[in-house]
Parts: sequence; C-alpha cells; structure tokens
Amino acid sequence: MTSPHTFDREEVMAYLDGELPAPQAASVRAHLERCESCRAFAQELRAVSSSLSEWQVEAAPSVLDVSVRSALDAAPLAARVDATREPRSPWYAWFALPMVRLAGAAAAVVIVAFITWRVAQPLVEPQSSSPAVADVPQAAPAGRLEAAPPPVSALGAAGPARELQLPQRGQGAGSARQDAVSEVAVGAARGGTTPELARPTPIEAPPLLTSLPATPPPAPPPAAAQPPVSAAQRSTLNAVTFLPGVAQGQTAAKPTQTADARAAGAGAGRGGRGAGGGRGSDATMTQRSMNEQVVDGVFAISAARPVEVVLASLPRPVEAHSIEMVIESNTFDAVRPALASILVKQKGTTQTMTTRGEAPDPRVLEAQISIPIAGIDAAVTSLRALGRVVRENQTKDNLDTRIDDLVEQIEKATRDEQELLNVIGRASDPATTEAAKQARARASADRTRLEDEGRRAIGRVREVVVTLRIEEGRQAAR
Amino acid sequence: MRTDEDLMIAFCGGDRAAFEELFARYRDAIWRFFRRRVSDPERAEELAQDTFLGVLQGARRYEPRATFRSYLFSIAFNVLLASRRKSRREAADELGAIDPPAASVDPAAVLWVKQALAELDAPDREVLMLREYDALSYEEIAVLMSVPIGTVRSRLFRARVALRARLAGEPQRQGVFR
Repeated sequence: MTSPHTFDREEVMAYLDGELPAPQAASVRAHLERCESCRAFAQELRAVSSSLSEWQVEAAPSVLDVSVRSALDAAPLAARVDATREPRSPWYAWFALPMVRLAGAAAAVVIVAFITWRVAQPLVEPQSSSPAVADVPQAAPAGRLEAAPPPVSALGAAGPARELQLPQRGQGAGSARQDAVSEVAVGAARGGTTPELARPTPIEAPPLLTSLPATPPPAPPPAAAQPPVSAAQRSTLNAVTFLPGVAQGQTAAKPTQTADARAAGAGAGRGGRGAGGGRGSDATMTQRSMNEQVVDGVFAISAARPVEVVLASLPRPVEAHSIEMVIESNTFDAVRPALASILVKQKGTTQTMTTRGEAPDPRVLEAQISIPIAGIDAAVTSLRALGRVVRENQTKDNLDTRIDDLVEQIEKATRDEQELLNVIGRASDPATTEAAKQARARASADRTRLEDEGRRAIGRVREVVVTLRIEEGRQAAR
Repeated sequence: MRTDEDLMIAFCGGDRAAFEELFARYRDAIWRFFRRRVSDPERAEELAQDTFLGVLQGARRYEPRATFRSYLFSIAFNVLLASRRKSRREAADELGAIDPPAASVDPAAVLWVKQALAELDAPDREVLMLREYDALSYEEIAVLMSVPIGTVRSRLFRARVALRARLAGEPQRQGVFR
C-alpha cells in the first residue's frame, strides 16, 4: 500500500537518525507505516549504515596511554598554579600598580604587532611557511618533542609557561605535530572557553576548496548584449554585475543604494583597506575577480586564524548577494527534480522548500536555497530554464562597515577577556574572583556572539541566497 | 556517574583523576576518529595524543558552554585539519584523508566501504563519517564544520543516497528529491 509523499526523503533520514522533533517524528513514523516506498527507502538507508559499520578499526595502542599520561604529569594544573600566588587586595587595585600598567602596555603592543602581522599575511599562505609555524618560538630540540607554548598574543601575562614534554617521535613527525599542537593552542588560549567550538569557521575550508572549479566561471556578456532596461533596472544590474543579464520583460527591484555609492563609502573604511569598486562593465570584472578572491581567501583560512583576522583580510568591498526569482512553469511536476539536480550539480543546499495547492488549482513551490558563489552563474541559468521568468531581482549588500565594526568589537572583547583572565589569576579573595569571573563570562559571551556574526558574514560572502517562487502555469494546471 | 562536564571542571580545579577518567572514556573514540582518517597508524596515534594535549592546554580556560564531547571532537577536528595542511605543504596528500584501499589486508566489505567513501565529495564524506562513525548529532556536526544544520542534513543525505545507489549497483541518481 502506498500513500502520497508528504515528506522529503531527507526527513525520513532525519527521522531514522533521531533528529526530528517529537511531533514531526510521529508524523513520519505514521507515514512509514502506510507508505511501502518510503519504508523501502528507510530500509535501504539502514542497509547503508550497516555496510559502513563493516569498517572497524583495531584497538588504540598502549603507547597512547603512556604518552598522554606523560603529558598529564607535565601539565600545570590550574589549582597548583593559583595556589602559588600571593594574596592581593581588591582586584581593581591591581590595575593601579605601575609595573602592571607597564606590562599591560607592553602586552598590548605585542598583541597589536601580532594582529598587524597576521593581517599583513597573504590570504593564500606560501608553501614554505605558515602562521602556525611562525607562532612556534623554536623547533623542538633533538631528542625531545615539546609542545610549543601558546603564542605571546594569545597568552598575554596569563601565568607561568611550562612546556608539556611528550615521548619522542621521528623528527619529521615531530615537526608536523608541533604545527598541529600549536594551532590548537592558539584556539584554546585565545578562545578561552570551548575555543574550538567558538571559532571553527575555518574548519570547513580545506574540503570545500576541492569543490571549487579550477577556472573561473565564464564572464558575463558584454554590456551591449544586455536588453534595454530602465534607469531603475540599470541601477540594480550595476549592483549585481557578477550575474548573467536579466532577461527581457523582467522587473528589477530598486536597490537601497547603488554599488558605486556603497563602494565609495567603503573606501573611507578603516585602515584604507580596499580601493572601492569600479564602474560599469569594468566594475563587473573587478568585482568578479574580487569575489573569487574572497572565496579563495575564506577557504584558505587556517584553523588557527581567528575570525576577526579573516574578516579583516577580506578584499574590499565585501558584498553579499541575493536573488529573488518568480518563475511560471507549465511542467510543474518536473520542477522539483530539476531543482534538486541543480542543487547537486552546483553544491547548493536547501534552507526551506514547501509546495502548496493541489490540482486542478495551480500549485506553488517556494524555496530558499544557497548556492556557492562559484556556481551561481550556472545555477541561475538553469533556474531560468525551469519556465517563464516572471520576476527576477538581484541585489547585493555591502558589508564593509559591519565587518569593520565586528573586527573592532571582537578585538575589544578579546582584550577585555584577556585582561579579566589576568585579574582572575591574581585575585586573592573570593568576592574579587567571582566579580572578575562574571565580568569575563560577559566578555566571553560578547565575543562568541560577535564571532558567530562574523562567521555568518563570511558565509554570506561565500554563498548566494536564492529565494524562489515557482508557480504552476494556469494552462498546465487545467 | 559523574558527567563529562563535571569531570572536566574537576580537572580544571586540579583533579588529575578526573582527566584520567575522561581519557578512559574517550581514548578509543578519538583513536578511531583518527585511525579512519589517517593511513599511518603511528601518525594517528600522534594526532590522538595531540588532541588530549589540546585538552590539557585548554583546561585553564575551559567553561562548560557545550558538551565536553563536542569540545573534544572540535579539538580533534582542528588537529586533523592542521595535519592535513601540513601534509599538503609537504606534497604528501592522503588521498582525501581516507586510507587507500589495500586488498591484501582488508576484507572485501571493508574495501568496498573505503572505496565508496573515497568517491564521495570531501565535505559529504566528512559529514557522513562524523555521523556514522563518531555518532555526532546534526547540530554537533554543524558547529564543528561551521555550516548550518540544513547543510549538514543535505550533505548527509547526498552521501547516503550515493552509497545507497552504489550498494544497489545502480548508477548514481542525479536528483536528490523525488
């Protein structure tokens, strides 16, 4: 017995994974009881999992126990470190000490120098070196493999540094490990709490890099090939020149600000980064090239690269693109498979997708999808082929100002957090410690929130959000 | 039984036994994480060691804002990526981070799994492995890879459909929705 498919197969999968909320899970369960086809699909997914489970690995070697316990023996536990500190009076009085001020100023100089140095690094790091390597003070001496202490910018004055000494490995492997450990240490030290969770944006970079085409997508047609458009349409087209031209008969939404004006504004941004956008068709190529740089740059992030550094490194102007399309289709039943094919081909993802209406009334499919910027040209071309384009708006937002603000705010929150951490390390009475901890928790929460926003901004640069409305043609519906 | 988070907080306070308990709980999981992604067992052991070293180094600033399990796998993931970057710099790529098929050692079923995984797109494969082998939730994977949950679901679905097609011996379907 079969029943109408009211669920995506993805939902069936999510149900099997226990990832659906209870009401939705109950609906899928009920559907599976009725629908033979979906039941068979579920069984096939179980078979996939079962096949994967064939790959078992051997037990962990005992040398892992030895090496980790050796590291534990060498680790400076928090309680031991804190117990060695002399009692001091109120935590705010600590700031008044001249030497502390001096040390703070010195630390600030080092931090600024470090950040400046990191910002000055090329987006795609040279083969011969990496920031992670540079963060490690010296190579481990022969005969020992020592985990590098966190970099100065990360530690500040956060207490005595002790090296964690591990059992020796081959020299080459030791070098590789030193990189790995030091990069983790950067995240752990800078991020404070759950650092790797707080800053994993770059994590995605290496695998996605491989999915990008080796050559840039074809250039848009020359301006002469564009159909006649109104002034308002031209304004929008100028703002989205990285996409193929809008077909005749389509309308274009008026952007809130033209690309040129926004680019001019961005030119006055902090630090003089970015030269602003060009004009006309020249701007097309410039912008296109910069978008690709952005993509490459974002994907080239290393795990040790803080969000604010990545944000500050983005070529200016930084722009987020979005498209809204309304399409009328006389072959509505074919739309969804075609859409899925486009998503697979262009590595896109679905945010939302719903279908409304039932024959003989015209049906409507509404969806929001994201397409990596490298595949957007081809995706838009394919989407237009789904039917008659009723409306197509292409817009972009300039993120320069927001990114400047974010970089500044994240840096400030990081500084605050670090200073409060130092205060906590030196506080003697519980009330002071508690007050400083609360203040630090607030600063930490601020930083995390800002970093999340920064990651979202990077995501907006990396992908184009396409809002689709596909209406069934009245002729087809009849 | 004490939770992972309680143990980690205790360790941050100087309780060595708490760390040993955590290590005992996650030793095998972290080892398996690397063993399936790195062809050289000695290197997998080193990376597992580095992961726990990362926990030791981060202990002074640990706060239980997420599960310890997520925290630990995030460190492991960072260690893995750093290692891969290093490998690429040394022009010693790892065939997409999957063991190269070794017919003389692996049973046919394992060989099939490795070959099938190696043919997936890297992001899809990573999501699939995190789910199937490391038992992370969609949300944990999303945080780990810094992508929306919807993306995790799409990638996981794509990977499973591809494996399903391979399992059935049929050509891979082009469409995801039907």
